[in-house]
Amino acid sequence: MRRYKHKKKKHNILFKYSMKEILVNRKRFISILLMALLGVGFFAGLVSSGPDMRDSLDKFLDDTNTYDINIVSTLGLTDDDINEIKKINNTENVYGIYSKDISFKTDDKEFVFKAIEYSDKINTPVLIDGKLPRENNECVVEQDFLIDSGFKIGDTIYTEDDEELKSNSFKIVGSVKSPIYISMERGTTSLGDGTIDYYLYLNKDVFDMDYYPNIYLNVKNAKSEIITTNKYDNLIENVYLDIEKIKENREDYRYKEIKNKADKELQKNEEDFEKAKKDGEEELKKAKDKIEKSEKEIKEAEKELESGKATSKKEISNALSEISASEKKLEKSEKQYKDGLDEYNKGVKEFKENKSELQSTLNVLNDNLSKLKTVKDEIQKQISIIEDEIQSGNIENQDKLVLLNSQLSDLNFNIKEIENNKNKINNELISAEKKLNSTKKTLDNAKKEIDNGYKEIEKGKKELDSKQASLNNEFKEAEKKIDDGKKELEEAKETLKKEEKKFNEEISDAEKEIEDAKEDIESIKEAKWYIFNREDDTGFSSFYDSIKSMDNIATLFPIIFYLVAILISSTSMSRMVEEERGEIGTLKALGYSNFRIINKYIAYSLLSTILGGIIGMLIGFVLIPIVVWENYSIIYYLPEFYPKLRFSYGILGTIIAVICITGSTIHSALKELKDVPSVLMRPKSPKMGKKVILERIPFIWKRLNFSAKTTIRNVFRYKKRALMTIIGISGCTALILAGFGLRDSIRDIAEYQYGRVFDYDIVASLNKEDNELISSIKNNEMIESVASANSLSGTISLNGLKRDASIIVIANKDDFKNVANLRDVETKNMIDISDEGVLISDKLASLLDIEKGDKVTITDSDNNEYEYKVSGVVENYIGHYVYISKDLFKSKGNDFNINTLFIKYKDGDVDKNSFEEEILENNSITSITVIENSLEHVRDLLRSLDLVVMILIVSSALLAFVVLYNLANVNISERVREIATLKVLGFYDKEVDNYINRESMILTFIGIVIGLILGFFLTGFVISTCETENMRFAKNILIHSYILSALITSVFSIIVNIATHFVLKKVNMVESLKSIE
Amino acid sequence: MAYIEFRNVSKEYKMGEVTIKALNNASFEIDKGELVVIVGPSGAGKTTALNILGGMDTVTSGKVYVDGKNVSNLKGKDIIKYRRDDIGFVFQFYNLIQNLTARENVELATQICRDSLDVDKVLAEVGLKDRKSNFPSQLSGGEQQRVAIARAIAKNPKLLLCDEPTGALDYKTGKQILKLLQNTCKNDNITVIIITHNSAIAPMANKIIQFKNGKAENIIVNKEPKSIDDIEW
Repeated sequence: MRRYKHKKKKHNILFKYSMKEILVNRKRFISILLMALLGVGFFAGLVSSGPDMRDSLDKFLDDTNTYDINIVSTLGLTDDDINEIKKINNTENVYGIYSKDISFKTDDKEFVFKAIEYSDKINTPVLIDGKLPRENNECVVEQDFLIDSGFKIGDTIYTEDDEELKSNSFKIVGSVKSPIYISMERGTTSLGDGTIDYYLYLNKDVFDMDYYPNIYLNVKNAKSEIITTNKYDNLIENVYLDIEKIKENREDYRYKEIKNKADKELQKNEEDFEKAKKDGEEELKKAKDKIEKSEKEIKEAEKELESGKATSKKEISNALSEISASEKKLEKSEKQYKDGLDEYNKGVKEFKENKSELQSTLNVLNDNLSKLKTVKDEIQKQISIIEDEIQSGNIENQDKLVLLNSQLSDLNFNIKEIENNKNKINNELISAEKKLNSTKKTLDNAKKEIDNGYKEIEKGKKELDSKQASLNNEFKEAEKKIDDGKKELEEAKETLKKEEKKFNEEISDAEKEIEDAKEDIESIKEAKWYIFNREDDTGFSSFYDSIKSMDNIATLFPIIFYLVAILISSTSMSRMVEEERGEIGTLKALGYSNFRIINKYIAYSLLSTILGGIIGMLIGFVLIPIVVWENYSIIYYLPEFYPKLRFSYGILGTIIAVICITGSTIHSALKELKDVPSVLMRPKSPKMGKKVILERIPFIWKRLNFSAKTTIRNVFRYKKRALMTIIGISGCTALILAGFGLRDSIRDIAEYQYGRVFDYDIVASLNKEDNELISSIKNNEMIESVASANSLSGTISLNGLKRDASIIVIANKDDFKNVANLRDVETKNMIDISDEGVLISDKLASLLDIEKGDKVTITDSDNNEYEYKVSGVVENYIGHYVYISKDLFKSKGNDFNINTLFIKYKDGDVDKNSFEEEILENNSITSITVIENSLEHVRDLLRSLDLVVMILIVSSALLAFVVLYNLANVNISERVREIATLKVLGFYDKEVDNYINRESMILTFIGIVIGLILGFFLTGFVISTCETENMRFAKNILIHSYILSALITSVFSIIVNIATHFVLKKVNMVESLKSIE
Repeated sequence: MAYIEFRNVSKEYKMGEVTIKALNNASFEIDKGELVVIVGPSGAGKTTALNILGGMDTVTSGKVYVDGKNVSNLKGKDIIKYRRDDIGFVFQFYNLIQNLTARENVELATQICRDSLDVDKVLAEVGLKDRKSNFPSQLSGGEQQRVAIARAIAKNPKLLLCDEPTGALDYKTGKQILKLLQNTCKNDNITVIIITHNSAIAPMANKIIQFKNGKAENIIVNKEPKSIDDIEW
């Protein structure tokens, strides 16, 4: 019981002792903690950066149902294709997605958009602001468009009418982040300047297309795997291969479908054309007939007019002659009338004479008559009295009576005679008068008739005049009508001519069109499917590359940190053990076991290492991946970041740190413990002074001043520490230089590629060989030179290794020389393209282990294999290229078709934009790539590596500081007696500083020199790990990088020296020199 | 005024909450060219007095004059200059720079002094003519102490302060060292102060100062100092 208590107490004491030790030696404790913190922090942070990046992107891609496979066809894709793909095992979420390039022009700018169908099934963009498009005239745009252009949600985008889009104005209702565009690149187009600026999403219904540009699909179970892992790749690869299997069938089917449709359409068009032609011809004929008819009509009308004129002339003259005849007649009748009148007047005179004669006769007669009548009356009266007397019976008178009666009868007879005469005369008179009267009447009638005749003639004349006038009018009108008709006719003729010409033209155009259509149909190429996975997307693949670089850095850096940590902690801890050797001796003498004694140091270093490790990993886990991610966010459109506490890495890192630090502690403690207590309790015999090699060369040694000599000798005395200082400093310098060197090397590769290797400014892709276009570009005054080539993509393989590369078949070697400089990678001399073999870019050559003279196999996109001899390896920085001469290419049985132009501007001020827009309008050109733009893109990409540089510089600077500070501390504590002695001797502070620091300065100097040399090689190593598959970093360290690296290390050295100064100043002579009792 | 005046000097150290009085109103005087031996038990304040005299420590109160100069008020650069020009120190454990040869150790001192002595001559004086290019580790304790003494006197100091110079040496060697110190005092007219707990050697001194409880309790002037050769212990 008592023993137990005792033991426990002992433990407590030791523990207390250890704690106290930490307090006393807190500077050392902190420095070890710092080392562990740096080591574990960087290890944990860097190692988990890659996985964090991968996981965050993976989560984003999973959340947004981003495609695993993307199929594009040269002839578009259909629902049939979708159904066929759906039948393939392990495919899911197969969707055809509409998309369309549209252009939006504002007053001073043109924005080219990729308009994509919004789908919540696949590639679903994440809504950042606003709402999703619900109407056909709504859209959501990418955030950057709003930022760059100043447009806001609620504004409207207008595009030109497009038959494949049902709307031409889209109101921005929100902003989104698309999972399929994580890089800055949006692709190329035939609109605007050839580059797509932004993407936007539209309602599916807006699209009026009969094909899908893309089919996207997911692979079953791929979501549960992380991108870039083998498991994921294998899943995708399997489905990929299955799609490859149906590819040919589908391509063929689509080709036939399109061709049939086109043929049918052509046929229909031809029929339509024929019909239209016929109709047109008929119509023309009709028009012609009409013209002819109206011509005839006009002629007839003219004739009619003529004859009408003639007839009316005759008629008028007839009428005139008739009038004159009737005038003559009238004149005659007038004369007759006048004669009659004269006669009549004579007759009237005669009558008047006769009448008076007759009147007188009559009067005589009347008198006779009256006398006779009175006689008669008397007779009658006697007769009446006789008769009355007879009647009354008087018969006496009867004889009388009979006489009287005979007398009466005679009288009566006389009377009658007279009466007759009278009557006769009266009758005669009456008849004469009657005759006269009738003559008069006849005359009057004749007169009347004559007057009437005249009147009639006048009337006739008048009538005739008016008739003539009206006729004249009529004629005039008719003439005008005829003239108008003629004019109209002329016009009609003209129109007809025009119509005819137009018609003929139209016909020939239509015929040509039909011919063209036929040709087009002929030239419809077999459909070609391109099956892409995510890694084929430049955005994803370059981000994957970035992750890989991150992983590479994560393996390289912590090694250096741990190495330095071992160095530092071993010096630091062994110093601690050394300082306490007396104590160790005492404990040992008291009977403590080695293990128990060491425990204290183990506890001390474990505590500091683990504490440092935990702090380090907590900082590292969060800080470094976030910094990395934020940095990458500058050049990528990245989703939300989810840094994880990957404790396995942290624990691993801490374990490594513990092994390094505690291991070296145990090592140095054990070394001390080997001595027996009595030896331990005496101060360690100081290290012997020794002559250095330099002293054996009196020539130099004699020339050195005293302090230089002491310094040199000191440097050599503490060889281990000197070595460590040198290693530490040189390591830091090398790291800093590697950082700068990496930056120098990568900063210029874009310029190298597009300045030193490629000299052209524009690459234009052609859809057909167009010599007219080529010569027009050649003759353009802005253009210095043009080289044409047939460029295609293929796979180069040698001994089982293979890589995709761009194959450029050069039409004219001299032309190509003007736009590109193909230099031998070793000698940097220009190499000519020969007909003997191909030239291969150097990264490709090194990846495939190709040497000059090797025979490589080139597989084209149709899986045809050709063997070529390699006649040279050429300098190249970005991408893989194979250059083949046209003749060599053809000699292998290939068709040579110019499909690419490399165009170089003349130097000086050239209006590039106008030229670019101009040539884009040419139908033979499908797209152009402006090198200046790609240069910008590559620069952006490379900027991500600046981060690596920053990490290199900052971490190595930290390291430099820690190393120097630690070494300075160890140096001081180890030499404190020496320092005190110097002080006692009366060395000024500055002299003491110099005595100590001169050493560290010399060591720093040596370290810097070695570091610069090491850095040169380290740069090479770092470059090779950071270098992506298709880039060759040009190892090129600028002079100022050397200077800067040296300067940074020196600055740290100076800072540490200043810190040392204060420590030295504090060294207490009395305490330090106290005799060990 | 005497060459060295130690007037009512007190020195207190604060160790946590306890104040230790290393010197408590100590006073003594030493004349130029004297060889003084300071004796006393451990913790009597001998070393503290020597350190104060050598400009390695400061006083809490009191005054110290050396050659008419108030040393107790010196600060910073002046106190270093005082050590540099006026003081030679010899320690029990020599405190040689291990990395320097005997000659170089002496040179280390002379290079910072204005009127230093000739290094080789001094080394010859201390009897190390033939060993001057040896490193400390190649020398015996006595030889190392000789180097230390040579280093101290080569500076041509006003005072040679020796803190238990023979403490780590055997009798014979110790005697040789003391002899050297006595000769130095005599021949070069340097004031030498030796701390020792061996009061047997006191007769070699011109003046013996006995320390007790932080005070110079007894100052004995020895009119006829004995040669060290004549002292046995």
